[in-house]
Amino acid sequence: MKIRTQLILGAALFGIVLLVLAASVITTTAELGRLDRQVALADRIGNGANDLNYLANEYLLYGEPQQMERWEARYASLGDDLANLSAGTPGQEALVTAIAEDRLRLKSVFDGIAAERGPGSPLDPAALQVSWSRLGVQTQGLAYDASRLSVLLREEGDGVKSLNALLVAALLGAFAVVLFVNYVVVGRHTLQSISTVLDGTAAIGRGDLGHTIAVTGDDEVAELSRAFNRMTADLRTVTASRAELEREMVERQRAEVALKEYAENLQRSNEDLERFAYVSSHDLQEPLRSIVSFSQLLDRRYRGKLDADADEYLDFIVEGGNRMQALILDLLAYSRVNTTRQAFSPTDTADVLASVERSLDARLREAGAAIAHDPMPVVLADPLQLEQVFANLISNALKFRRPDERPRIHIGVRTADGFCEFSVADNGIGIAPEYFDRIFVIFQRLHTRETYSGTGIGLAIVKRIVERHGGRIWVESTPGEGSTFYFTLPTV
Amino acid sequence: MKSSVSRIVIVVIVLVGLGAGLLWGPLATPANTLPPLRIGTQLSEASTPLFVAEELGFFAQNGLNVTIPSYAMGEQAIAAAEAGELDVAMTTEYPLVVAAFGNRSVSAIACIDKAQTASVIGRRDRGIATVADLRGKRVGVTRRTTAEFYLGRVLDLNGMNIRDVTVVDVPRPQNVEAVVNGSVDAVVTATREVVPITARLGGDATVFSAQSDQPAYVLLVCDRAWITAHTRETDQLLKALAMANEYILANPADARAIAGRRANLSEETMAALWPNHRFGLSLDRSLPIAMTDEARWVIANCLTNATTVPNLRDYIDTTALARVDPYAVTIL
Repeated sequence: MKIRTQLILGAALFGIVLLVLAASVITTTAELGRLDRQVALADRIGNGANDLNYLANEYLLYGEPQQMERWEARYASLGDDLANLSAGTPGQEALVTAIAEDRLRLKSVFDGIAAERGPGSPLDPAALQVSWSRLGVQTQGLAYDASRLSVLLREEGDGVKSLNALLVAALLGAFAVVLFVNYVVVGRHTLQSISTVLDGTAAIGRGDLGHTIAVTGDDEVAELSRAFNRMTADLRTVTASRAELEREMVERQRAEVALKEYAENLQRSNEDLERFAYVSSHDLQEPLRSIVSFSQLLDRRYRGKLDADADEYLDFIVEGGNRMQALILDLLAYSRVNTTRQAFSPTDTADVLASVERSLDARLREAGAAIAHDPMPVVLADPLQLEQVFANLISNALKFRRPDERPRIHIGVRTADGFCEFSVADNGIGIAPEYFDRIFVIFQRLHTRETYSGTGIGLAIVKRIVERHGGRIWVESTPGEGSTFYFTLPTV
Repeated sequence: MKSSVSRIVIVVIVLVGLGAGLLWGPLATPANTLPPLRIGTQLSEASTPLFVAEELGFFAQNGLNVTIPSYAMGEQAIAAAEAGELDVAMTTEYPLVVAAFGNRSVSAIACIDKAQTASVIGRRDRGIATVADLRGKRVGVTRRTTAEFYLGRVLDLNGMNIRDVTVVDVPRPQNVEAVVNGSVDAVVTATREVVPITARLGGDATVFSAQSDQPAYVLLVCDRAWITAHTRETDQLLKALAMANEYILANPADARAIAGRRANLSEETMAALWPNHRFGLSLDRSLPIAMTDEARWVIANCLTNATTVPNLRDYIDTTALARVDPYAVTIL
């Protein structure tokens, strides 16, 4: 049973007990009042009997009319009292009947005596004695019956009081028993349940999430116990998840550390490689330059003096030396992206673009190209490298133009998320999608040297410069329609 | 905690048990350890409390083993009690007054009934139509019974005395036959005899009350020594009769049936006689007044050699009734 229900039932029981007690007190008071009035009537009748005895004897002695009148008046008032008597039990009823009969017999006796006595004719002593005795028998019998009725009424009153006391005691006793039983059966159970819950909370507080509180009954404490058990189960799940999370975090941290070490190693390796490329390309220039110079000198002095194969071999040597020199220069340029870099500074891309247009002016005019551009922003960049980027992309647009089409180049600008997105769009030959990544790889070419000159280093350098600035570069293109190179740079 | 609660429960159970024992103990039937009690009575409706107590087991409930032999007259019962043949004699007050003049060692321990039971039945064919017509007539009376006093009192109140009639001592139950066969002109007898006598006399019977509004006190009389030695018996007897009286008040029809069967009275007779009785234990002040009045009458009519009224208070022992029902005793 719910504790709330127990409390409601307890309050209802208390209210009922109070109501019954109040009703009992009210009815008892009313009944006792009625009985008190009846007792008073019975006592008055008893006194009236003695009064009538006295008045009758007075009349017997003196025979005066006033005694007769007083007797009659008292007799009448006794009749009034008798009329107001009410019997509640067979015993009382018998006595009320007896009193009524006693009264009539007394009247009969008195009337007989009064007739014999008469005014002014005194009775002889013997007759007086007889009359006195006869009146005594009647009045004392009447007084006895009245006193007996009074006793019975008082006893009934005592009975009512006792019954009321018994009822009150029984109700209080029953209430006490209910309270006691409630304490023993329910209260102790509840207290024990609460104690169990307290022990359980203490165990859970100590970290024993495996502890389960025993659930007995169906009261609020049982609900609390069940809620605690559910909470403990949830805590166990959450704690398990947390452990996994912590384990995962540790693994990630380890991975991050490993990755960081790997990146550092890679960076170191890359720097070593760059340093090697730079040093080797730089150091290779001098002997290569000697090779090329002496092969050119050999070509100039001995061309036509040796046989035809020798001339062809000289051509091969000169051409290979020149290509190797170009490759080494390109490789050196690629290396210098990071080795000869300048600090970033606010750079007006309009100035950069103008400088590029000036340097490419002859090729632009030769190709009849038209360059258009959006309003150019100021970005945080290395201006010389930024010039390389624009020069390279525009050169490519001129190089890979369609033969039957005047090149049209448009440089677009869009700003978002702290970056400026530049686009260099042309109407050239375009690039097949499968080559979108390959074109940014160093020395990767999509065409033969005979078709389009170059070493294939340009876009690799552009990508390296953009990435050095924290941006990225990509291409969108449709073969035969043109290409658009996009790259981002941080705004100022 | 658990053991203390258990102790409390045990104490409560023990207290409740003791309380129940104290409450029900007095109500339980006591062991039938008292010697047999003999109560001499008359086969009349006045004996109703005795019959009811016996038949409904109230005597037994109070530890009494009662036998109720019957006697024709109270005087005979008193004599039997004096002789030790009876323990208790039921009689009206007049035989006790007579006994007092004889200085006999008996006392009334309770009045169990106040009754209007005596009637005068006269033969019309002998010229008796009113009380005054009794003058000079032969009137049958059982001497030394209340009827003797009633006759005298009726005559007194009608301007005569007992010497104005010829009193014929007719013992019961021959008084009925005496008036019927004409050996007496009138008879003073119990009201229960009115019907059979008038029936046998046909229209020749004249009936009028003999008691002059004075009740007959039906008393339980015992030898004084016996009373002193048997307080428990007297108390238990009175308690049993009190229970009988409660039953009579609550179940008058059943009580009448019991008494009618025991007294050999028809239902109609019992119904007619019933209003003339007031069953109940009492010893009130009217009793000694009535007895004294009767004693004076006895002296005045020379029915005794004594010239002074004996101390009749000595013939009323209120101690037993005062113990059983104190409010029933008002005698000073």
